[in-house]
Amino acid sequence: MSVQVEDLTKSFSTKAAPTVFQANFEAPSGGITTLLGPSGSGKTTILRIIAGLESADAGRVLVAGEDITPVPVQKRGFGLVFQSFALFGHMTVRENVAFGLRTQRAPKDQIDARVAELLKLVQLEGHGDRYPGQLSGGQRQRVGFARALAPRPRLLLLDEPFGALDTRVRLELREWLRLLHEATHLTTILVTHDQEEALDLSDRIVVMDAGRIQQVGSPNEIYQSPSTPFVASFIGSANVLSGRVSAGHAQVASLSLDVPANTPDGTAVRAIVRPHDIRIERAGNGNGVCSRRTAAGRISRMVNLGAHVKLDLALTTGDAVTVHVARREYDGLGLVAGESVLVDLESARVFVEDYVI
Amino acid sequence: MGVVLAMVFVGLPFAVRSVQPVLMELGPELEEAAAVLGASRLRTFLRVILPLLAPPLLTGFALAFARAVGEYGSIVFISGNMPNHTEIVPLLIVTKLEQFQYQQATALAVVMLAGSLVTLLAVNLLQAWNRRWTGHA
Repeated sequence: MSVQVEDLTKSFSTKAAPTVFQANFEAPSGGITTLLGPSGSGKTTILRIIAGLESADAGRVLVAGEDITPVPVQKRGFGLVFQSFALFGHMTVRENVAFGLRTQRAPKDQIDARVAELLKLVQLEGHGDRYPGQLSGGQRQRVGFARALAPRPRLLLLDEPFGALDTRVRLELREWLRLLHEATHLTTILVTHDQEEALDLSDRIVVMDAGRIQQVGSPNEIYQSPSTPFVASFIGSANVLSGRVSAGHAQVASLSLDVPANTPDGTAVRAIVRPHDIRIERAGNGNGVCSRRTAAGRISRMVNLGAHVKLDLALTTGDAVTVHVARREYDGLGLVAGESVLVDLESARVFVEDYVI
Repeated sequence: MGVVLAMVFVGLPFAVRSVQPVLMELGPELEEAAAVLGASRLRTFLRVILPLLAPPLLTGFALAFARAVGEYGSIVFISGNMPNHTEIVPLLIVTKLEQFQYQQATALAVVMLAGSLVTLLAVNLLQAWNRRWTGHA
């Protein structure tokens, strides 16, 4: 059941910029597609339009090739899981899960069998007669999943399903969701602002910012070759260094980096480099010659983060750079705060900014 | 008929005031969840919204009832005080008192008191039953 979103645009106010502007992407059948972005980027709005809770100003949504725009929310047959759980507090867990089946007027024995099956799936067999108010957050959200899955939806929509849970429960449920998806291969669209969750669960990630889709790709593509500085800095951590083009090269900090041919001099550029992709060595031990790709600096702060050590560097040009050094390498180098070092920014990616003529 | 009208007029604000905050706090998620699961608006109202409003509705009813039991001013104005037709107990009590028939007035009052007690007790029991899903039982 693939989902295609075509030119979706939605504004909530005529004065402000559109909440979603000409969004285009496809969620492949049987996969998890994640809408990832900071809050206010329009990802939830897209999900709500797909669910039928919101109508688009322009554009359409195709499910398995069929335009579902005119289909009312009740007839779409999708499952939706809310960040706030939105369970019916006056109904038992069993009644909550049965709600969708009852509206379909399924026979009672079928409902009972399906509810029992779902409670087993979400590991809440013994809790069928409890009320949501008597369950923990993680258990409540599992009821939310069971309720959404009970009527055998064509499509599962998840609106920040783990957003209201604490870290440990979130990781548990994420793992559980992955196993569930491997077992069912139900086409799923997940909305989250947690990049780790997105990288972990998704077959395809749609990165959004300010109502526009920035990049669509597999987790690896998004991480390895971000198409905009926003994507680079939003997915994983990244150092952003600003500079300008001069004599055919980007001059960033004390570096001279390659730019696409024919980029005019004076164009603003940004170089993005991941903290763990930076190699560091002690200055003045002979082999560290300041080259086109290395910069000199001083360690201003060191923070021990367990698996790696985070170094904040002040470069001689005034730029600040964060470097992650693996523990073993750090122990070998024996660096101290305040020391002068050379950093190798080989892996920096240069983005030429759009300029207006 | 006039009595009922007068009591609705006097009691309605109590019911509205107790339902209103609950209704405002409800938020759209529950209705949306029901809609996504295929429930029509009517079904959503009957199965999801109304049960949640039962406790404040009961509270409102209890308050309105308490007010109505002792009320006679508005009834006299709206329905007159026609003997055997729109005569009400509180007014009877006053009449008896004015005629110095203290025993009869007291008897009437005791009946009223017992009736009120039973009704309020019933409301309280209903509310306790309704609260079963809110806290830990």
